[in-house]
Amino acid sequence: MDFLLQIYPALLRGAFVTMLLTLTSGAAALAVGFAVGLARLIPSRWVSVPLTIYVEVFRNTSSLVQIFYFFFVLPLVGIRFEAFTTGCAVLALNFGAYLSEVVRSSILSVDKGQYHAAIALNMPVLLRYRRIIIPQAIPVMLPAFGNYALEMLKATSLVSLITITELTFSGAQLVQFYGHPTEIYLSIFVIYLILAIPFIVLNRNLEKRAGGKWKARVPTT
Amino acid sequence: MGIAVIPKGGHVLDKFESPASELPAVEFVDVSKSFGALRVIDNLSLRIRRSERVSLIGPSGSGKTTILRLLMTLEKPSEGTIKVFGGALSAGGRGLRESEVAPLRAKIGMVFQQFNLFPHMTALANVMEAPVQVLRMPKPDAKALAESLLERVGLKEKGASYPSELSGGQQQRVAIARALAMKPQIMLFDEITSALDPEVIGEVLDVVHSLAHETKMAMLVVTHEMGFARDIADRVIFMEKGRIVEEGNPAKLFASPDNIRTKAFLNAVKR
Repeated sequence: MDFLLQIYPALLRGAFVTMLLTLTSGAAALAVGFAVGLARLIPSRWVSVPLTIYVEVFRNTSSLVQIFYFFFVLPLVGIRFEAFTTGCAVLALNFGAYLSEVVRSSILSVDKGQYHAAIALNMPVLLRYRRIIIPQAIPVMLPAFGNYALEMLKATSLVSLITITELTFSGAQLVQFYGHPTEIYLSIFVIYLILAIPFIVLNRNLEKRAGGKWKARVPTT
Repeated sequence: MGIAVIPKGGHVLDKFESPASELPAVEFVDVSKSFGALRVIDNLSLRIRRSERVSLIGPSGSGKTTILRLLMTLEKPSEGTIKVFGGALSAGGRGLRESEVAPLRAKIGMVFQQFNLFPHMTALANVMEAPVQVLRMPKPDAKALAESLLERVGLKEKGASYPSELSGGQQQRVAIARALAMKPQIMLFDEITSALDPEVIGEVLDVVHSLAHETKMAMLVVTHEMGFARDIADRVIFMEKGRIVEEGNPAKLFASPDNIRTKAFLNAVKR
């Protein structure tokens, strides 16, 4: 117990960095996901081909290799960012690729009749999406978003390998310094669970609100 | 008005001369529409006068609904020209630019088989949506308009209900109110009772009949309800395989059609 009191400030700092990474990369990934997911609906090859390549490259290669590549290879050609920025950017691009697929497929799942009704009311295309299609697609996206938020929380441990002292890395340092791997890793385990709770609660709330207000009103697939 | 029996590939422009001062509400000139190898509309020409009510009847796949969808710009014709009040909606088999199409499309309203109400909005919000967002009408005005339209379709009390809380017949009446809110001069009704339970079909048809009496909109009605097709129309068009087979006065066409295929179709649906 004394030992835990001794190490908990270091673990708390690590937990704080983990949370910061998750929220920053998560917000950025959401922005990337929406931008790419919507842009891929534009019926032009000049837009869709590069974006498809981006999505497939980031979905189909190891996240760890992506992090190493951005951190160790890009500086060789003169592109250098701080470790934290690099970590956030790679996580955002990686998860953005997955989220863009969620956004795209959810939008495509909205009934074609909704587009027809919007056209028949003479709505310009952007208005059609903003007022009619996207509001119906979002409840479809929410469960997947919740899943990826939890995935993101766990994936932040990968950036420990590029010197960011987040929760996993601070734990590893403590083990190197003091030993006691059982106690330390068990603590880390519990802290991750505690960090996940807000995401679980938030997700459940969002789904309930979306599902409650719109249940049966939004065709889900 | 005479009965026109259309020879293969022919068209009927000469049968419907309107005075030059009055452009027809709708004009199809040699319009074809193909989906792959399937020719859904086959070199069809058609004129609809202002305030004219026309029923389109015919077997499934005869191209009736496609005519409405082409007119609503939900499809582009493969060939030919479509005009609305003299303005081209599509020409030479191409759609035109949105900035040219939008002012013409504003004159057309459509009611769908599946209602297609916006499920995330109340009935009132469904009716207000386009006036507020497209016409930039101030919200209080749009609300007053929407309330009066809901009252007109007999749903004064249902403004706060979501579509999922309404019966099919009620949803379809909201859809009619929503289309009317844009003050169209041409209304398209695409099998508006086909998805309804039999007991609520009457309430929807009553609304359309009252519109026909009280307004001067041109109406283009695709329906499988032969009684409705006859009662609502000034002219009935019988289609088959993307062509007009026979058209004319409803009483005449239903009582003693000239064309043998019209006869066969009417006999089949009577049973």
